[in-house]
Amino acid sequence: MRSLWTAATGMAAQQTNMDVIANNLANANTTGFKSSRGNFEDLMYQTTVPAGAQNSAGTTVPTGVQIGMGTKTSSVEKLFAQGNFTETSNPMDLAIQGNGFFQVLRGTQQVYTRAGSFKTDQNGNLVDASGYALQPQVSIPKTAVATSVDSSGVFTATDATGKVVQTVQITLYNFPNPSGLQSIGANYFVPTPASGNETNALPGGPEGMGTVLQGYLEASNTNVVNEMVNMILSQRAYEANSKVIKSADEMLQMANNVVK
Amino acid sequence: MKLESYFTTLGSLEEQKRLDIISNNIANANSPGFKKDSVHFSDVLGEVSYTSMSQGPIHQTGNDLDIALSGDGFLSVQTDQGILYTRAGNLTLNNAKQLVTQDGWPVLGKDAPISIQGKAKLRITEDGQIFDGDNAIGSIDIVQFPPDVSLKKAQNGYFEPQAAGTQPEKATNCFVHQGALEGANFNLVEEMARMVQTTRNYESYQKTIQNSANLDSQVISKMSG
Repeated sequence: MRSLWTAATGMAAQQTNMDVIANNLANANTTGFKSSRGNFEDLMYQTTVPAGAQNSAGTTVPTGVQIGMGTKTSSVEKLFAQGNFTETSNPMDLAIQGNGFFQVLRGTQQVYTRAGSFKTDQNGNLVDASGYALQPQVSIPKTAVATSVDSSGVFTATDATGKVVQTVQITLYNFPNPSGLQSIGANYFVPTPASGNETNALPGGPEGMGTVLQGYLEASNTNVVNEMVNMILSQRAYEANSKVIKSADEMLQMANNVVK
Repeated sequence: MKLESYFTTLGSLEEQKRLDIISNNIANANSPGFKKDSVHFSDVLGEVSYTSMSQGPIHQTGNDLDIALSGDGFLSVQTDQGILYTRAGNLTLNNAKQLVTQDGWPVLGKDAPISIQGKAKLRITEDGQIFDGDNAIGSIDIVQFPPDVSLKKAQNGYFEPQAAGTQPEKATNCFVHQGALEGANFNLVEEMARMVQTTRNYESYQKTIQNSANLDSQVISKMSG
């Protein structure tokens, strides 16, 4: 019976769905986290009676018989909806209001992130929470006592007398298809052939990179209530699929019991 | 072989097929735009499966690239097997910024794929026009088939007309909802009830086969005794 396997594909899909939901919920408090969604679609169909065939009475079958083979996960898609802003009053915290990403040099690899909780390292360079430097590099002179970043991404450091000692332009990056980026953990994304190559532009420009907010962090865009509802639906669908397996099993058992 | 065991065997096979179809419906509980199938058995060997094209429930997702269709329309998608039609509106972009389905096939505007630069907030109106901020950048081709054209399911949630080459017409009574998806159009309770019915029917067929076999063995033992 096909239904055993069909229901198994349904259960596997719900397991994937639950794994995705669990990761979204686990990251409900991760700065700059982008939630994912499992997308499902039906598998191929077996046409046991083709439409238009002649039946035994000599007439033409109007619609035929198509039996589906279940479901499959077509993709797990990252949803880049804007997360909420949390005010931190920390001048080193930056949030992007728009579509852009910060570029960070992780060893020799350029990676992209929306988690803007920056700090300064021992050399005065602006680094992210894992200690990797923001690109293009921002160095803060030792004499600087105050820093500010305006909405167009201009980083300004001033000394005790109020004199500007350093200005650096922060650049933002984006991709033709951000959903095609690969998550590598630690809030980092790396480009793939599906995402396309990065383009860079200044914050606040017409390219839609967005503006930079100082003293704010972008919270996770996981919607906890939605995820909870999806979790309930997923669990019920899993249950329904398991009932199908039970029914199919019962029917096979009956068939086996005909011959004693 | 006696005729009754022949009929009951056929009946059992039909019930198995019915369960196969129910299980495919249930397995696709999470496939956007999925349309349920049902099978009807008329007489011996007369079987027909129908796809119910009724509207599925529309639920909000808040994702700008999700669209749900309410009404009789379909999206046209340029695949490697020609233009296919779907109601699964969980769209995304590819690396050329074209609007594509989750399989990566471009969704057609007026006979051409739609490019989205995404500089400002993406807005899709009820009639399928796409705006990037305030600039109109194209429109999604929403099509429908006349009621006498029957559709069959290709794989991955696509539909195609039964007769190859049938051209659709522009949808007249179909609205696009941005930020929402259409769910599968079956009712779980109904499918469960049908499944119970299927199991019971199957059981009675098996009982009949068994009775018939018992009768045979009684006859054999009486004759030989």
